[in-house]
Amino acid sequence: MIEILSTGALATVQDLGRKGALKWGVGVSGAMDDLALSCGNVLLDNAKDAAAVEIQIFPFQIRFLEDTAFAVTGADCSAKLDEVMLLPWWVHTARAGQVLHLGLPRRDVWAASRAYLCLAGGVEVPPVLGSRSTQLRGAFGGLDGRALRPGDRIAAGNARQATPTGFGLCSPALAMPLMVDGLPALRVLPAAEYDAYPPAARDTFWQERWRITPQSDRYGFRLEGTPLIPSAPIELGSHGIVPGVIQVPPGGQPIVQMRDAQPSGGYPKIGTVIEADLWRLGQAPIGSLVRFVEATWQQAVAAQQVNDRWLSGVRRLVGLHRARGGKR
Amino acid sequence: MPFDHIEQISAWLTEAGIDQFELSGPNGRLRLGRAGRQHGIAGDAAAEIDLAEAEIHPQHSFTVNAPAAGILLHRHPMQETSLAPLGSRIHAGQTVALLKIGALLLPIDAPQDGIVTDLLLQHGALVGYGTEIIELSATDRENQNEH
Repeated sequence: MIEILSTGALATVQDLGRKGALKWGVGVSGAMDDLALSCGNVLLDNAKDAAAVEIQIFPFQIRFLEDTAFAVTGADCSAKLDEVMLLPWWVHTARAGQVLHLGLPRRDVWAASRAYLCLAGGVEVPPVLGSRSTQLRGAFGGLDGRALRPGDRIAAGNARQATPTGFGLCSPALAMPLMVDGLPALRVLPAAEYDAYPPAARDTFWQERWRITPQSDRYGFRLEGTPLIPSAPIELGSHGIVPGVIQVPPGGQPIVQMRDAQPSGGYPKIGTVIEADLWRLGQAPIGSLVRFVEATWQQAVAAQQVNDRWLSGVRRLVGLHRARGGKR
Repeated sequence: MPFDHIEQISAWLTEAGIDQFELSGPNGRLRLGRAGRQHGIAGDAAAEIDLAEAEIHPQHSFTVNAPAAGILLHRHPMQETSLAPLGSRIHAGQTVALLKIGALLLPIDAPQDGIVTDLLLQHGALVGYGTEIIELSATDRENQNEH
């Protein structure tokens, strides 16, 4: 059990998302950086679908109400347990009464913006439609379907027997970097209306830098750059969309749908950020620049396999370490 | 299994401060232990290997050794500041370096209080079990009258 002492807006309970509910018009939700969440769960020997607290506004402070193992992954936010500095991407032990403080993300090596507080046993809230993720629009899932507030108490599920602490992981941003011209890059599949854009607009899309504007959140990232104007105006009926879809409203400034995307929309779609790279965009700070790289369907599938293989390698390594009793 | 190298291995183990060593192969298993612990060779042959205890010097300086094979990191890969810069004061149990094995990061902790006097290897160096990585001068009571 932990108690929220102070939080900025929009810290929510998230797991890997509510998959398979789009057919009822229910969005996917889930961690913006699914790899960071998964690594936290690996560090703690949690189930793959265990939920954690996603934090995107700092500082953030909680008190542990019982002894527990925990890990903080995602952005390195100079975590302190009482007054002791903690290593990022690391599994620690907290005693009842200790206070965990997360400060502004430091961007020494990786410019990231979201942190995951993972608890041994996972955050225990009732699953709704097969997931513990907070569905803010529908006001269900997570803790009462809303963002966390000071005073909230969150229980952890049953942890597996005394899991070793005191070790960590190298973040996938360092293990699997993807940069173009010094900027974080995202692989994109051309989407249904791609051909409606003249070659100059397509070149702009692939060659230029795109700034993440302050109007960016878990629903979508609004980007800013040279406007993308189709050869002729496009009129579309509302249709199904998924996280990653890059819509272009009439102004020509693209919007990338993120985890809390609504399940339908009517703007033309120039591309789709591949599933395997959504975590990279999910961590990109507001004001930062990103690049798009064209990918094929085969490359998108292969990229997901690379992520999956990396994660299963990590799980195997941590399992070996744990099998040795966590000894060094 | 040939046992030609036992003396050499024993010497290495003593140098590295390793108490137990076990090597398994298809034809047998070699187990070496420091004096006072179990020793002997399992398999068809049986022998007693005695390892000379390392001579104990009064410790004015000591080293932190790698607990396993891996890549030595003086700082966390996400951070630019060293865990134990030259001249810094370290307390027993403090993490002074990390060992990277694939994506796994293990802490390398100081066995006792001290001041970092030498970084013996570069950030990113490949180290083996027992490799000396950081030298510290002891700051316990016996050594303080030196200054």
